[in-house]
Amino acid sequence: MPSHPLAEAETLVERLARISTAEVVDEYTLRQAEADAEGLIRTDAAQAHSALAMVAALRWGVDEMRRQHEAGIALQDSRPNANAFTMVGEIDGAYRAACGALAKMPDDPIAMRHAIEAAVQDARFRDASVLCERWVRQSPQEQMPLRQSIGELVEAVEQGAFTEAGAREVLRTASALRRDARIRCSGFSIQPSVEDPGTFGFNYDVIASTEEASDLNCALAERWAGSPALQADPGLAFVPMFIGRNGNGRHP
Amino acid sequence: MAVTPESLLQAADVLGGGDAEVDWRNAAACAYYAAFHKCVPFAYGRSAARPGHAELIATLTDHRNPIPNRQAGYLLRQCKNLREHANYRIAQDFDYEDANSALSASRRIFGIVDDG
Repeated sequence: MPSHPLAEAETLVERLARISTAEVVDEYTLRQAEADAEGLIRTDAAQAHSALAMVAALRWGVDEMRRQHEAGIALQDSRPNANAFTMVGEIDGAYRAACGALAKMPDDPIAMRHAIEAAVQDARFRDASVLCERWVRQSPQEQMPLRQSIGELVEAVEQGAFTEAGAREVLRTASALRRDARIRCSGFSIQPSVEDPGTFGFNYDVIASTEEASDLNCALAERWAGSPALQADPGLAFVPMFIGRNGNGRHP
Repeated sequence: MAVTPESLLQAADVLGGGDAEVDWRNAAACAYYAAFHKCVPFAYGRSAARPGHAELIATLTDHRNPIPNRQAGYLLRQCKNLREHANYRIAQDFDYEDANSALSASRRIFGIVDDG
């Protein structure tokens, strides 16, 4: 009965997604999800390890998250999950996991979207652009909202406005700062500049107050200012920023 | 009549407390210009410099400058990106949190300049 374990797993994935974007991670709900994931080991071990990796990530247990991920991908029917890596700010690991998932499910639009997003978050804009073209061929009727911005990023890199390596260094620093502060990210957006073509803002939406996000921005600015490696692109053409979204867009 | 960077920041604070998106957009713009004008004498001394936006940020972030100048330049760039969103991308949402992020960045820049 292969459909039953799959349905169970999808429900668990949905629950974990809800927990991961809640204002506060409720430990009781997380324990329930963990128990359900452990119960799934016998019927769908790959999905169980993927869910347990996410549970560990939600507790900021990076080593346990990696252990669960490795246990999952060792299985023949593994479904690598990039979200756990993204949660803990390991954007290179997220990209590798997303590519692994896409290799196993090349026609799956969700795997494709995750790979595109992971590529962008690790400043692999050319790779993201190639994936976008594949997306258009595979799903011509489906919109890929990032496609235009990715095209502009590739053009800026090719024109020498900044390098992928420089942007990656800044994004990895930003992600490490967020992880150290144990602040979850709920999304990102690319903001091409109107006034200075070829320059970009890269906004992370974080589940935090404005002040907590501002502390991260200050720490990032200080880290950038003190590190020659981070100033490889001196024109500040690619600038990440954290936006605290605890208010959910509303006036308090 | 003249205004100071501090009075611009105060106005941005008032706008940021509004309950309409147009207030939040104006708050972000006002917060950025407050920080911009605060940074001009910080970057150029007391000369009557009239830099453009990109020029001021490039001057502040010059690698020969002390860390606080570069840090202020980085935050000013973040603030400018939000101001551009507020002013140009009117078809995209601009939330209360976006305005407050600009205000917060501006206040941090004031803190760095005042400490320097």
